[in-house]
Amino acid sequence: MTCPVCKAIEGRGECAECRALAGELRANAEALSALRHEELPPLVVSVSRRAPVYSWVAAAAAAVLLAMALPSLRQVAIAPKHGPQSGRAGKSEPLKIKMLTPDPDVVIYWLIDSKEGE
Amino acid sequence: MKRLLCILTALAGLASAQDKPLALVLSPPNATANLELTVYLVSGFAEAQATARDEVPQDLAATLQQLRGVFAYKSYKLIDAVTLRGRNNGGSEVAGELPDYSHYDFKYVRARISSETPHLVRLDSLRLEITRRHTDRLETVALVSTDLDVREGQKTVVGKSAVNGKDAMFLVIVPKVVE
Repeated sequence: MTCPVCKAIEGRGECAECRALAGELRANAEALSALRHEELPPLVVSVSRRAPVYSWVAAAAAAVLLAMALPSLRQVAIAPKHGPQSGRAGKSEPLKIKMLTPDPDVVIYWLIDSKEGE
Repeated sequence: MKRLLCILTALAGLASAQDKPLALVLSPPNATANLELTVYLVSGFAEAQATARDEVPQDLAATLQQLRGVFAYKSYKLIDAVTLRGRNNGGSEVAGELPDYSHYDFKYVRARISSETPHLVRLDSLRLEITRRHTDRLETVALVSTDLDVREGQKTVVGKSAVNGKDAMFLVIVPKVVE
């Protein structure tokens, strides 16, 4: 920026305005230098009033993610249901072998208990 | 904030939409259809019986021919035939006494009929248990427990060995969808 009066760089000219500006800058520099040894007050943490809004948004996002994850969790829960529901604890599902026959209308499955397969 | 709410709403809608395909599978268009299931209980004997001939009805002749091609049992005998009917997405159970005074209990927890033709019927937790009562206890003679897919027009055989020693038990399942 140039001085509109003397056309020199602002604060560096010989005109009265430049001298006045140079004086203000010098005074500012001296004031800042004086503050160099001042001890700063302890930092005060102010809690923003918007914080609860963000927490609600985070909770809603977590709920949505949970809802998206639920179907896969449900599938995992359903999977063991395919086992025999005989009420006999510890019995594993038998091995099921599908046998193809020349007759397309006859399908044969052969069940082998784990005890038999051993 | 409004934009964020819109995104969250859309995500929630997406999440709920993920359940739709499962619901469609469980409730196909023909939700009112009934399933008539005919189950033949057939024994396969490892040792030759007094009557050398097979004792099965003519309906099972083709099935028996295939069984003979796969297994080496000496003879086959129809023990009983039961028919049960249930709704689509429902279960059914039938129980009774067999000629040798043993007791059978046949059931499935749920039958799901597909909309395609011929219908595919998914039988969840199909179970046949044959028990024999002794003076102080109930002995399980045969137990068949599995999930099974059967197609209309086909005879699906489920076989299991080690019944009464070396013999085998065969279930011949014939599904019929009644619209």
